[in-house]
Amino acid sequence: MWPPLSQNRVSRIGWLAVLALGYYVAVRLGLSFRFQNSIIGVVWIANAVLLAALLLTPVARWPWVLAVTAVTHLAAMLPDAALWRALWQIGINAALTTTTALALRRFADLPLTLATRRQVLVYTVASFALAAIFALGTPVVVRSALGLEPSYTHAVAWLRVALSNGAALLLVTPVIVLWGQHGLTPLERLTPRAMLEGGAIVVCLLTVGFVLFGTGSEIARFPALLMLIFPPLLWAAVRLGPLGASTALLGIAAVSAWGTAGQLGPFVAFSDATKVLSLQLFWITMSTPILLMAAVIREREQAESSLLTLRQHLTHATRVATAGELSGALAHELRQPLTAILANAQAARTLLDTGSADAGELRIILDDIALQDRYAADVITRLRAFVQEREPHFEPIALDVVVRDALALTKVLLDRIGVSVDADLPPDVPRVWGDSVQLVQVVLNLILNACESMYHTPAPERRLRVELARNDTHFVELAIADRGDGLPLGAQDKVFEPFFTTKETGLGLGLAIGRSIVTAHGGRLWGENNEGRGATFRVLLRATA
Amino acid sequence: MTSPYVAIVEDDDSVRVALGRLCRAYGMSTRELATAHELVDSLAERRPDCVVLDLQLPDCDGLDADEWLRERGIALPVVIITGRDDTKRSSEHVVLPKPVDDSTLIAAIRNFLDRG
Repeated sequence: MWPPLSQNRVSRIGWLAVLALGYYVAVRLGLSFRFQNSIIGVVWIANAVLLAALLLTPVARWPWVLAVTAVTHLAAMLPDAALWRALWQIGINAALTTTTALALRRFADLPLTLATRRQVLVYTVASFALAAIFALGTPVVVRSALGLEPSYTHAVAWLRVALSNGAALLLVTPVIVLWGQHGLTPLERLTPRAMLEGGAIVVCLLTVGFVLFGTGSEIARFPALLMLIFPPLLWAAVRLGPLGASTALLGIAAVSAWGTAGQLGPFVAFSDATKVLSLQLFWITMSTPILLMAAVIREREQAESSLLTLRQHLTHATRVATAGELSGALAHELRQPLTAILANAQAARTLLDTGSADAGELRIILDDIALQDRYAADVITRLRAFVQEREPHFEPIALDVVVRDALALTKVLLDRIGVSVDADLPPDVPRVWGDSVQLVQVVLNLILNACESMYHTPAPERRLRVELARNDTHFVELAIADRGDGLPLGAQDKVFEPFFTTKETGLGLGLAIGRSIVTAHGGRLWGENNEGRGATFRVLLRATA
Repeated sequence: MTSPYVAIVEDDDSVRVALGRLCRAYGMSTRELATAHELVDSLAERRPDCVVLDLQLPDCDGLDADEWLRERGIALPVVIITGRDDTKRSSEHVVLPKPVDDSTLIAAIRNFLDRG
């Protein structure tokens, strides 16, 4: 990327120097990599470098880029070619690359990421269509049309030039642009596991590449072997994204070019012209589907990640709504310590005013005030932790603590409705892997639902049984049984559908969110009617040990 | 003159203890009770001059307790304290929201004592 203005001029000159060097190497490579009797290169990398430079710089800097590459081009070509031909070539190359860059700016939603199918298609079509159009104006095509280049018919010259430029734009430009945008950060962000996988992909690609293009031409007798290239390329596309896929494609293209130039691999049995065409078609046919595949996977990953974010927001929103339902009870819970603190403070003050205070009693009063203050702070802390929006944090969780937290948050409500709680929470039950806030949310919702369902139950029978136990298998089961109205008969799973509700207030999201949280924890949440009165909801979560 | 005798009926220990302290600091003698049943049981022993009654008790509603006593001809001056917001039910009672200021509470109690 063009360095920001705050950086000094030296780095800008340095950047242009790198461009000049890269462009020079590209021209020399393009000139040297052609088969005998041909003045048209197999792949004209110089244009790919120039297009990449244009895509990486703002339009205002394009004159600099074009000037530097033009001078470099002259320097690289003049020892071998006539001045008029070099200038002609420079002009037509500049026209092709700036037109392509402008077309991409207009139609491809730059920056170039190749992360959407649309961008891959626009990029492919633009590179090939414009390469084909501008090929008509190159010296070799014009001159062969005029009969001045005896070795080609003008149709063949046009096809060769178009494919040489198109293949370069398809294979080389994405690699330069994508690495140029990100620098080495994609590598620094790799986890050890991803690095291992990336390494394995590179090894597979190189192995297959060298087997196919590094062995003798007898491999051409088994054309099906060429298909071996696809599994590692698809692996790269699926796991490494557009950056990895385009780099892998360029690597395979380089190995195949190297092998074919050294008279190795499946394409050497043919004439030089066929060799070139085979290589170009091989590159083009493998590139487009692999780049599309990488884009499809990236689109899917992005859709999944935005869905996950949305679900996190929804989970949080329902948690806030639940806290809203509890706000009356929580206000009451805070008023108790505040009442005690105020009465204690005013009692102490009155004792001092009337001269009947003794130090021992005042000390006890002050201790009580401090104790009540801490209790109030705990209520606020618990509520704050519950409604806070934060990234999920998975760790080994003691479910008995989760249940106790949920019971503490609902204590006042349970007291008010007159629900007696019978909790069997053995502390030696194994921990589960989970997010404590989300699990509190699940349990809290189940408790609130149980309370609501006992609205018609006579007060003395309003009982809630909470039971935590290790399942025979590697699971921990939490059962919450109420003595309420029970689940709708024949539709016991319907209560887990979003927006299904039997309450007058409430969105009907509590159980749906609860189930999605438990499922995301790799567990199960379901409900069943009791034999007598009410229903039991069960949460099954995998134990950590 | 003996000090006025106030019964404090409140299930929350810390609030009950603190209100007892407050009333004693103002020269009253107190009896601290956790439930309506304890209040009823205590009446045989000594009838309070005033009852400070929490609206929300574990065994019954404070207003229901008051009504139960009235039906049995035991009319006690009652000051109700509540942590809830909905106090509209009890227009004929003195209902004080928690947290309650000492001037308000003591004035309400003394108001009954002066009348008696």
